[in-house]
Amino acid sequence: LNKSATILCIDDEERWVNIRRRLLESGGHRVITATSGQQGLDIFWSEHVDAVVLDYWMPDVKGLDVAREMKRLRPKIPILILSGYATLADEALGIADAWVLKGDDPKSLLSKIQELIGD
Amino acid sequence: MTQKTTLTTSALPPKPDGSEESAFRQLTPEGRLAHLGAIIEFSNDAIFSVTLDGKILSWNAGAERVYGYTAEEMVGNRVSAFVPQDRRDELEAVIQQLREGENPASFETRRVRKDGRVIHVYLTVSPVRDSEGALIGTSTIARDISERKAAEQALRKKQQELEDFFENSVLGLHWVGPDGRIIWANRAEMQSLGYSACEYIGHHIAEFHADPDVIQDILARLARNEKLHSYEARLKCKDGSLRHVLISSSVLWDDDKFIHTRCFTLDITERRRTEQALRRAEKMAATGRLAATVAHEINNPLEAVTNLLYLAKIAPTVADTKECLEQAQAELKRISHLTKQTLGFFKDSTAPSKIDLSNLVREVIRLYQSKINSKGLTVKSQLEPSLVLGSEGELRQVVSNLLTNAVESSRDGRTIRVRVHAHHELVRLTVADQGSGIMAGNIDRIYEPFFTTKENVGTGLGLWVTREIVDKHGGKIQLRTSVQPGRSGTAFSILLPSAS
Repeated sequence: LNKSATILCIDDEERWVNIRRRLLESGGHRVITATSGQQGLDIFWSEHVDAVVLDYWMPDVKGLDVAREMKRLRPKIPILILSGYATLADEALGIADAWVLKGDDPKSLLSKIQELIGD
Repeated sequence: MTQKTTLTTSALPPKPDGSEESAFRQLTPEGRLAHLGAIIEFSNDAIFSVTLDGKILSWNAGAERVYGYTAEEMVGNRVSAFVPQDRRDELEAVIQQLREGENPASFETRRVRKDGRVIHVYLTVSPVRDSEGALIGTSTIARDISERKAAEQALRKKQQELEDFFENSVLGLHWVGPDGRIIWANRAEMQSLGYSACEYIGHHIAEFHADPDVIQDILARLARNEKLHSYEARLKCKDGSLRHVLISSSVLWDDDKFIHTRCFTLDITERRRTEQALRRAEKMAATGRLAATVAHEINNPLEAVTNLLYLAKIAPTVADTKECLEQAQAELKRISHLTKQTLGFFKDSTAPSKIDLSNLVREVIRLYQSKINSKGLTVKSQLEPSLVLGSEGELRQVVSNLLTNAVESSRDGRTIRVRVHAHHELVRLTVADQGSGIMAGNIDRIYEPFFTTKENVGTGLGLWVTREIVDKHGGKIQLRTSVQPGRSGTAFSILLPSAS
């Protein structure tokens, strides 16, 4: 039984973040998108969010810095990092609750989100 | 003769023609005897006479100086006083020879002075005979040759040391005569090539060179009195393998006569191998970095494609499915463009060709565009079409190295300027960043293999390979850098011969 949640999805590329929104919505979630790290932090600060899906590589504030700030503000909100590289830096692994390689089966993103919000 | 006799030339009656030879004839027998006595007495050499049973009869002032004994001490004494134990037989043998009517014997030997010091002497032992011609004793002229002996020994030692130095040198050394034949070679040279002396010395030097043009050029230059410094050549070993060497050589001339060459050969085969391995390693590392970049570039649109295909599958209407598939197709086009663009990157190109450096720079910037964007950097480029002759893959590696260095040393929001323009016979590529600059102490080291200030990121081979490639293309690298806060940065310029 899938649990429904509000997910904040952050990626600087609007085209891709919108496709990802549709995927997450297909999983029954409510999705808020942001196209920069700063915008994402603003939303995180002001709105109710159950989980965060975050792109690691962004031009303004790095995914890692965004994640670090979010953990400082509300450490219990799970963060899932998306990366185009096959490995993630140790520091990011320490902060993120889960990470997914871009291009993997979409079901793995959906099931990891389920795991995170089910806890 | 022990009695000291003085006689000076002034005692001789002077002759109008200045000749004193006839003056001697005019002397009385006593006068002649006194004159001969004076010659002996004042001789610088030791002169003494000895009876057959070894008793000393006369002992001149020279003998006093050489042996340290006075005439009073020695006359009537025995020669064994100053003949070392191991040299006693030698005197008996000489007397035997003289008895048998042989000529005066000259030989080198050792004697012991009164003060105990052993000296080297050169002796001439002559017979003294009575009026019937029977041997009644000997006369000896002895010269102290200790100093000469010491000098000879020192010279011999020096010579041995030099020989040892040459033979055991890590440099190969040889001399070649005017006919091109090897006159002399040291052990190091013959050993490294695997030849014995008779297989090497006396042979023409060209027999051992792998490249006939090279040795011909070397010999021609030397004959023109040119000096060679680190001239690259390949030598043939006995086992058929080749050694890479640097030859430094010049000719020893005697006026206009070619005596022989003085050739120093440094074996750089191992160095060559190591360099080759390093070049390969850097290429692998560069390829690895590139692969990671490309994978990242592909994974972004790939994620969109996989998501869209998933959405297409679960779409409620055919129209929704169609819309998802169309979007997926557009993303796939992007991926296809990217792979086309990166295919052949760093590819080994065989023959050099004419390349527009501006185009190449444009491609490289495009490849790294998202990395540049993700760091919030701006690249301002000014690219004029400029043809150069060279290997496309290698030049792309140069541009890629300079650009990634600039990106990695730039902080967010900075600008990287890239310019390509032709000026006279040269094409200049400049990549300038606003990074922290290169510390003065590091400037000399940046082209050394494995030197890096970028921990975890760099192999320390990028600039080394860059310089190698630029050298190979007959070009030059220039560098301007500043660490002054507020205006720090580094600009690398590559100058290549224009092919326009």
